[in-house]
Amino acid sequence: MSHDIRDMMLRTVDRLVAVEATRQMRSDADGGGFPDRLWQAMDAAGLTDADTIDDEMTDAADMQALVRHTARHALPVPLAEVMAARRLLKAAGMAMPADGITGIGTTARDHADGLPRLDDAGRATGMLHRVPFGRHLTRVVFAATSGDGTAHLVVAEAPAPAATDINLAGEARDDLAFDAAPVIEARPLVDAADQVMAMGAAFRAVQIAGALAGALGQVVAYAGEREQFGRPIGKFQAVQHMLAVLAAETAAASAAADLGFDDAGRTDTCRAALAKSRAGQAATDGAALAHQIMGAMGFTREHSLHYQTRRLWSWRDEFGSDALWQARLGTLVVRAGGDALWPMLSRL
Amino acid sequence: MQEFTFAPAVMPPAAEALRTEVRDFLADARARGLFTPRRHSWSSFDPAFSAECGQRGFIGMTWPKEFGGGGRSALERYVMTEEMLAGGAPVGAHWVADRQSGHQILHHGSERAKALILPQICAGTCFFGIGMSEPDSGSDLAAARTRAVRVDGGWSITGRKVWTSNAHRAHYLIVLARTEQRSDANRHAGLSQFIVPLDAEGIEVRPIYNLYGGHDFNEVVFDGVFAPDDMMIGQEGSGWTMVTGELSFERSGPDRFLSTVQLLLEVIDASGPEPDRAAAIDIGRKVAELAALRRMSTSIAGMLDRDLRPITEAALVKDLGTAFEQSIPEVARRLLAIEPRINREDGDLAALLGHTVVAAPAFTIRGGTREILRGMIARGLGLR
Ligand SMILES: Cc1cc2nc3c(=O)[nH]c(=O)nc-3n(C[C@H](O)[C@H](O)[C@H](O)COP(=O)(O)OP(=O)(O)OC[C@H]3O[C@@H](n4cnc5c(N)ncnc54)[C@H](O)[C@@H]3O)c2cc1C
Repeated sequence: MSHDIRDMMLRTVDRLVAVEATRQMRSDADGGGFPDRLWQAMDAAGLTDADTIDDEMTDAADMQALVRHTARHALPVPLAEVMAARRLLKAAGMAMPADGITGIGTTARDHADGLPRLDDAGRATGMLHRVPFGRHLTRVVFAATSGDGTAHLVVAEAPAPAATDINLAGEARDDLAFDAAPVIEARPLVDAADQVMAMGAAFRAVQIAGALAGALGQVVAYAGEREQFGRPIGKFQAVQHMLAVLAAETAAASAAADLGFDDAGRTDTCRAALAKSRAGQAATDGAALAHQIMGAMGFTREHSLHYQTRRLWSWRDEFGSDALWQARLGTLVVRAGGDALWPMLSRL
Repeated sequence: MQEFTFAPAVMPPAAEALRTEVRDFLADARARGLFTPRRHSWSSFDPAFSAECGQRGFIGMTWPKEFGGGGRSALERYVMTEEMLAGGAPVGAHWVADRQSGHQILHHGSERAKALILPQICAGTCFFGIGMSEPDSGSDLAAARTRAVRVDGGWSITGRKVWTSNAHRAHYLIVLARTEQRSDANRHAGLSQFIVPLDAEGIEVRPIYNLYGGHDFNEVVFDGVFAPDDMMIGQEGSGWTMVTGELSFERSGPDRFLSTVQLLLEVIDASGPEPDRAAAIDIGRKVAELAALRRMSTSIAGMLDRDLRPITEAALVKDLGTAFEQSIPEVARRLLAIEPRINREDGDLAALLGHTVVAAPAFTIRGGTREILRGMIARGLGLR
């Protein structure tokens, strides 16, 4: 890992934020819109495919740092989804389409509805629910099963949404329906559905850590400026302690998000569960504290805190809530038995 | 403002071999009946076990070989400590000496103190206590009144320490004492630290029984106790800096979140093999918290290895870590349908739960209270 390149990427994001992340851009994107100019600028700066720089200079952790940083600024862009798609395809030995935006999709909560089916001619039929940025995607990566029940990882053209919606942060979350639609590529992959979920969850954990850091920054600054009873509220011990807990939750979310991926940027159910469980918990406590510290001001449209906190409230439930991942993790741990816990943790 | 970052520690190649070595040692020690896992907390005081650790080179691992140490990195030592704690080993006797006192002596002690004491600590035969707190000086450590006055060839110490863990079974205390009057201009000036053998003339150790009747901490009265010049640690007046530096070792280690892990392991086993959803969620939540804590704690070990002083980060880990370990008995109560018992000799699960319930309040007090730690974190954020 090279800190120079990582810093350079993060500074590039800061520069783009200064120019492109205007109030207008944010309000246009808030409600399912897409910040074309920002995304194009990120593209031009090489940020949307930074993870394809195949040299010794960057590694997976740098890419997670980049995603985290865009989340810190609450940028309404599908960078995490694009990277997730690329990692999934790469791990399955499949090619990432070169142009357009390729995201990822899952069926409703924990695949309760069943995966899309692949017929013998390799056409997909089924529904992906609340696909992040669905209407803006060119292609989508998802899991499907063939007639004989074999799980596949699939990349297909994204159809026009069957239903459009937004998440709490106003980002597009659309249902995509396939009706005997030809796919671009499909490969058998055991646990394809789990892998898509885990990849999505692990990236959401990274984003939660970023959004918490963004909220913390705003709240600390506010506590230093806002005066009541003749002094900055940050001088009150009760407020200081809330800030300390917020900082600790932010740090814990970051640490957990780091655990979500191995050095090569791969994830699995266990890693994703650790990351999303802890980060989701931090999102809940952190967002509540940030708002408490900021009083009524933080509850306004006017103030920018909600860009982070509305994302925290959505992201903690996307690709599986913290409770869902905690249940999975707990089950896994209990089945392995107490003696297996420490060997499992110390391998991470 | 500062956001606290916990860069992942890069474990040295030797660390994994060491991990295996410690696990093998613990398996062997269990087989020989030296201890029963899941029935102790790390603070159990067991000199025989400490002597075994000394023989295996598991004490003073980072100190130079000339003093009996292992010359290894802080990260290797970290691996050893986390394996000991996770394995439920009774390391309490040598813990303070290994974690902080020896480190202080090595870096700030006289040549004589180093040569005399460090090899004994490494052998697992010399134990330390911490003489910081006093009746009127708890969180406000700089209010210490115990004073040391100059006498021929050294210092004469008079005063009273309280809550001194293991003073009745340790060999030495490191005592924080005032060598100069407290001044309003600099409250932290004029404090110094001394190594004092607990059998020195003029020392009296009186038990203070804890809430469940256990005898772990004490009152220690000093009545003109002589400490030679070469038993002062560091410079005269440097006590405060050393104490605060020491605390980043005291606060960031696995002992600040693994105190109740043995109970968690029991809860895991008792919930198997098919936990209901509520149990799975409770356990999953705690395991994820634990994993994140370990990540942060190893990160601090990495910083200490690079001679950084992550004092605020350590406070943050201790705050999160002690809240975690304190929550485990509550999880156990929710998931296990048993009443806690407090028969200390009896090794069943109800007794483990009972002992954990009554021990838990101390976690967020000892080594700096939660409130003091949060104040430090706020200072780190630039708020004070
Ligand atoms: C089991 C155990 C073992 C111990 N072992 C040792 C030992 O070996 N050696 C040793 O020196 N000490 C030891 N201690 C003492 C420990 O370090 C002190 O208890 C601790 O520093 C707190 O001091 P105190 O108990 O006097 O509480 P106080 O300082 O009186 O605090 C009481 C309450 O007031 C709060 N408070 C105090 N000041 C502030 C403030 N500025 N802002 C907000 N809240 C505040 C505290 O957080 C706490 O909630 C031990 C304690 C325990 C429980």
